[in-house]
Amino acid sequence: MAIEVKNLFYIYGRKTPYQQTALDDVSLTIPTGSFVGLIGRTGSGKSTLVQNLNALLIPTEGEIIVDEFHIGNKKRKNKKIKQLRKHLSLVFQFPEYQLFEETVEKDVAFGLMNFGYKQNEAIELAHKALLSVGLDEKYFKRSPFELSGGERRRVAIAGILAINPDILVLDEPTAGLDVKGSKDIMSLVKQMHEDGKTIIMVTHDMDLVLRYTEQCFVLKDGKVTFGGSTNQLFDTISDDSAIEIPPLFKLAKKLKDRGAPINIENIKNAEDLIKQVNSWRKK
Amino acid sequence: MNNVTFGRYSPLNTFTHKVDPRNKILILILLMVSIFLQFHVWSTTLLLSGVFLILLICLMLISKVNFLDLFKSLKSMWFLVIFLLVIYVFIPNPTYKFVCYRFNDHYAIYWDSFYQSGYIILRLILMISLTMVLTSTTKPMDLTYAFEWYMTPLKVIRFPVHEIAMTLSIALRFIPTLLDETDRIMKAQASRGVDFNRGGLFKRFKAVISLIIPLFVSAIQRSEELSDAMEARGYNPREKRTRYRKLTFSWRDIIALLFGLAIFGGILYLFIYDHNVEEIDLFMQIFGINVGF
Repeated sequence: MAIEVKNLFYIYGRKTPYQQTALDDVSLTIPTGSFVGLIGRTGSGKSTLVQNLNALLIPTEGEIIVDEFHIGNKKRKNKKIKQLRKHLSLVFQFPEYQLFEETVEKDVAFGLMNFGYKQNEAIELAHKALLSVGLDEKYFKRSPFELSGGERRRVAIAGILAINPDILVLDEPTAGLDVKGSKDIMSLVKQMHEDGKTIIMVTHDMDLVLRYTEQCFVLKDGKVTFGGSTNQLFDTISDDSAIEIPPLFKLAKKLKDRGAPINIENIKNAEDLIKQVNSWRKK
Repeated sequence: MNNVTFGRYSPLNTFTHKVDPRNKILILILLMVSIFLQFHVWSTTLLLSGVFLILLICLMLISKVNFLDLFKSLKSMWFLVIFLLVIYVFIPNPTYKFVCYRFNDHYAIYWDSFYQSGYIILRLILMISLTMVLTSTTKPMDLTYAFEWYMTPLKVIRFPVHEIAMTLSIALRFIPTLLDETDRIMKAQASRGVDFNRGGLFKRFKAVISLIIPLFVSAIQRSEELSDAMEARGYNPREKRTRYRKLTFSWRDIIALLFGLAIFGGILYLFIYDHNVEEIDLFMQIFGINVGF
């Protein structure tokens, strides 16, 4: 198991009039090499959960085990936090706001140098990461502040990719991007997953959840209300809940209900459905 | 970042919360002036400061202000305290009389200097706590309304009262937003391996730079967006405006004002008496003990 969360509680503003329970007895396990979706409404605790995963927030109660790292509710006892953050990296929502260096390559190399790489080594890895997000040599020496929003986000994501974590957590990586931008980012994430990395993605886009994730967890008011395979989730939930079933999946379900031999477990995108329908027609 | 709790408005419903903000500002000023009046006999000043301290504690209890917050903010004052103490103790003052330790014929340390610095610190604590009572029982927006109200007469000389109040209220409104933003950027940089609490001077400098630049960029962006949004909705500062919340004067305000005036009047009377008629030695009069000199 890559990640094991045991009875995690997180309370904001404890013992003040602003006290708010963000995570309420959350337990879940995420296997190594899986692609996991984290869904739920705004304010359901998704972001709080992912921030607990790399010790940006310290659990109020409960514990988290990330491979060889252990996070408990005693701040002093949590050692090796830096190594943990290299092992499990978090791409924040709207990461383009964290850029600050004079040039794109320096900004990407910044994280690497924090984790102890030498400058020339870091710049080299930064170039590699930038090429992998589709930004070529022309961009290396430019200021991040003169790029477009989509390009800036790619720079920011490259900054995390360059660190080469084993577990990558993305908080709404496609929010506010155009169709092409979000496709590029997602194919990059998919590539990382195929390279054997564990991916955890927070998102509101159910099409992305269906297309990319194998498993997902649904959070509601700080509690996990569902944990299991993604297709199973869309198969079992009713239409009126906070989660909207992707139209493609609905279509597949309707076809199946009408007697078509469709295996709902395998439907990830339109091509899968077309293939199944075609093989059915041939019969 | 959420530990910046000093003087933050707490949404309760106490007597102090319900008092008109204009009135609260007036009372605050009256009390502060009374705190700053100094008497000839040091024991009198000290005794009156003690009275203020008790009053303040009552006020904080009524307003349900968190004592812990106050202590936390006072804890960060220790540098100032030491600084004041050093300045007062080591800089000679010809009015000092009581020698504590004599180095030589020309230079000595006086007990008076300890009393002076202690008194200043006590006054500072009183002022800070009073301000804290005001800010934690009054919404920032109400405070700016009150300031605007007090500045209204300046409109006659074409002083941009409304603009200043608007700027002030926007600045106050965006403090929590910027704090959230700071928190967010700190976390984002922390996941890139920045350690804000450890490391050498250069590393820390770099860490702070990685926080400040994005913060400035987003603040400037935000202000541009805000001014566009205001313009798009036809905002014109010179137009006459109506209020959603009207400030009203109630019986609570009368009680509070009478309380403030009574204290101010009393202290002022003692002060004038002390300076023009004869020196007051309260200890002597109340307890019959002569501690004054």
